[in-house]
Amino acid sequence: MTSWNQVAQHFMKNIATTKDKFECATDGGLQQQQGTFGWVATGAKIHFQSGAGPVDGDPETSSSTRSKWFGYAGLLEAVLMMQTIFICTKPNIVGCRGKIIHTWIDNKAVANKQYNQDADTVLHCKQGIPTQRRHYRTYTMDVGEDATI
Amino acid sequence: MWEKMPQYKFTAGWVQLHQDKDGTVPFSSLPANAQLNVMADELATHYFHHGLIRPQTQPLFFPSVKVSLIVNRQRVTAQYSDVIRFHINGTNTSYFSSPRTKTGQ
Repeated sequence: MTSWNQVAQHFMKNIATTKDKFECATDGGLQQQQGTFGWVATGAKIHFQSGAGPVDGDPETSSSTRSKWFGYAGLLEAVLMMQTIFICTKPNIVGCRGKIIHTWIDNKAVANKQYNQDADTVLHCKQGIPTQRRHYRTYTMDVGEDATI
Repeated sequence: MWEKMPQYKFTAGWVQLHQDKDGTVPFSSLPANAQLNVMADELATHYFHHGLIRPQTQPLFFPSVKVSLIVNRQRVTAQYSDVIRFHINGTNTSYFSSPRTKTGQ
């Protein structure tokens, strides 16, 4: 069993030690009017950490593009959460300044950050939730091959 | 959220979807970005079939959002003009294929 502190430490260490870019990918889909998303982050291994979850929204107006935006938001939430935990436990280590977090997305509107629908999700990706109102829903998260939560 | 983490540079790139052609192309022969896309797609599909938390039809009101449109007690996040037009005069569009109740009925 791995603690969240260890997961966060492992995650941030991977970003800090990455040479060029910390590469990730997100995707989302819509089946039977239900959206889901997934994201993957790489480190030394191709599959380092990953997550998945549901996409909330009106089934009548949902789209796969909204799911892809949710996937990107899920990845950003994970990075922010890991960083928050890591900085709380290791306040003297800064580490990751200037690193590039590059995300591969199979939708040009999302990749170019140009989309005039689903403003709630797009704005969330940009600004996030104020810290004092932050809460997390329980998404699944795998941690490599050698650890489980 | 990228504004909350100015220490990073967030970039994004487009990758062609389904390069594995539903498993007919060997995973190992794909470029790294296509492999990542396939894995992310599989995670989303796996969650659809096995995920514990189902999507909520009423999305949360993110505090960063200044304005939210609610029609017939449903928060609208896309196709704003079509939704309003439908609820004003009942004009059905291709977006709404299933029966829907107009506001006030």
